[in-house]
Amino acid sequence: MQETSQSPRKTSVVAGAGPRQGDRTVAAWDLPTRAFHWLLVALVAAAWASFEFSEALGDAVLKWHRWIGLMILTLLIWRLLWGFFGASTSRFANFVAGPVTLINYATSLARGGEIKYLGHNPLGSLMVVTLLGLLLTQATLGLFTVEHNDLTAGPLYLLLSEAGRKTATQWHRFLFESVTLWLIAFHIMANAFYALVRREPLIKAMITGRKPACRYKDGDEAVMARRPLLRAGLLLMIAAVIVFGGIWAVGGRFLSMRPW
Amino acid sequence: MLRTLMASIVLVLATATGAWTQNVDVIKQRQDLLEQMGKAAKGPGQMMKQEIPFDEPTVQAALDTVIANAAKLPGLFPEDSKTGGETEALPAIWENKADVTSRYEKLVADAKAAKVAVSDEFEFMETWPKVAGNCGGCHKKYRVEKK
Repeated sequence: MQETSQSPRKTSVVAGAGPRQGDRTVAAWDLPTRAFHWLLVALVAAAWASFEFSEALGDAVLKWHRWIGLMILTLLIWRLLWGFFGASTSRFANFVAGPVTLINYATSLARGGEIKYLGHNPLGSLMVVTLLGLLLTQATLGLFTVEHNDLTAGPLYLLLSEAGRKTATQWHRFLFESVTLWLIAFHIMANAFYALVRREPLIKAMITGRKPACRYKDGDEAVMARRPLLRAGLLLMIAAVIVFGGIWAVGGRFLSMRPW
Repeated sequence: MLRTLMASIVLVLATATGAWTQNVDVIKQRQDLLEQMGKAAKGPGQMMKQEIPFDEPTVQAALDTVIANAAKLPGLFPEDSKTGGETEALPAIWENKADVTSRYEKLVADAKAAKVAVSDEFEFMETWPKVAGNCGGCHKKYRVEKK
């Protein structure tokens, strides 16, 4: 279905087809959400590397790994808060999808003419929620994990019995190696698929925050939160208080954590 | 046909008994030495995590155990001790003998250096990880992963 332009500023909008060169773009992702995404990527990679190469780094007490883990936890709590106070596309209420929506979308994708979403499409929403859940679990397990050489442990390890700590430690390793890592690989491939095969520039959108103008199912343009940077900064401080204050409140002890 | 069958049976029996003639004594020896080091490291580990107060004699005793045992271990991985005796040693050990030996030598050296550097709690907290860090490094590569 084609709509002819009403004013010189509006370009014609064609539903279903991929974007043409020179089409106008609309806001899709706010800056805090984008910054969160790429910071998380860097931190998760750093968390993995700081463990894998701890010997080479001369960090037997995994000081870096543990600091990075706490930063990841703080960032994830921030994302949960942002899911209630951020731009429209960042809010969970706007993208967490039920089974019917999921099946409808999956079918449309399989037929090659998928419904276009400005924010996360239903399958993407599933991936996002799963990844957030897995990483939250991973970081939380780390709070109770004991280092292999018994040199240190997460701040809450004493809250568990000897057996409980062993379980938490095993799961902290297993979950990342056997589950999360695979899902991350799939997440990257799926986004590459959308960009290269379906001509939906999802990766570019998560960098620039903009998508080609189109008839999107969930709204034509993202509605930004007011004073996003101030809001994001405030929520980050609250997230830090929740994480560090929470750990301290339940009697957690930070061992061998001096950065210098 | 019968000769092939006999040959196969002999081959199977020979292989099976081959496993049984693995040097289980040396396997037990090295397991004991390694377990001893693990037990000795328990006290210092608790001190690192501030579960118990720092106690220099305990740390010195642990270091002595490490120095003594780690010196003996490189020679306890002969070719006929790869399997049997519930060993957790990975085949990689025999493919990287030089690395394994140098790791034990480093452990001894680090432990010896630590003996003069653990007179107070702060020095101990800095120094003990340099010794115990060697344990995990070796286990990662050369010990069966514990499930």
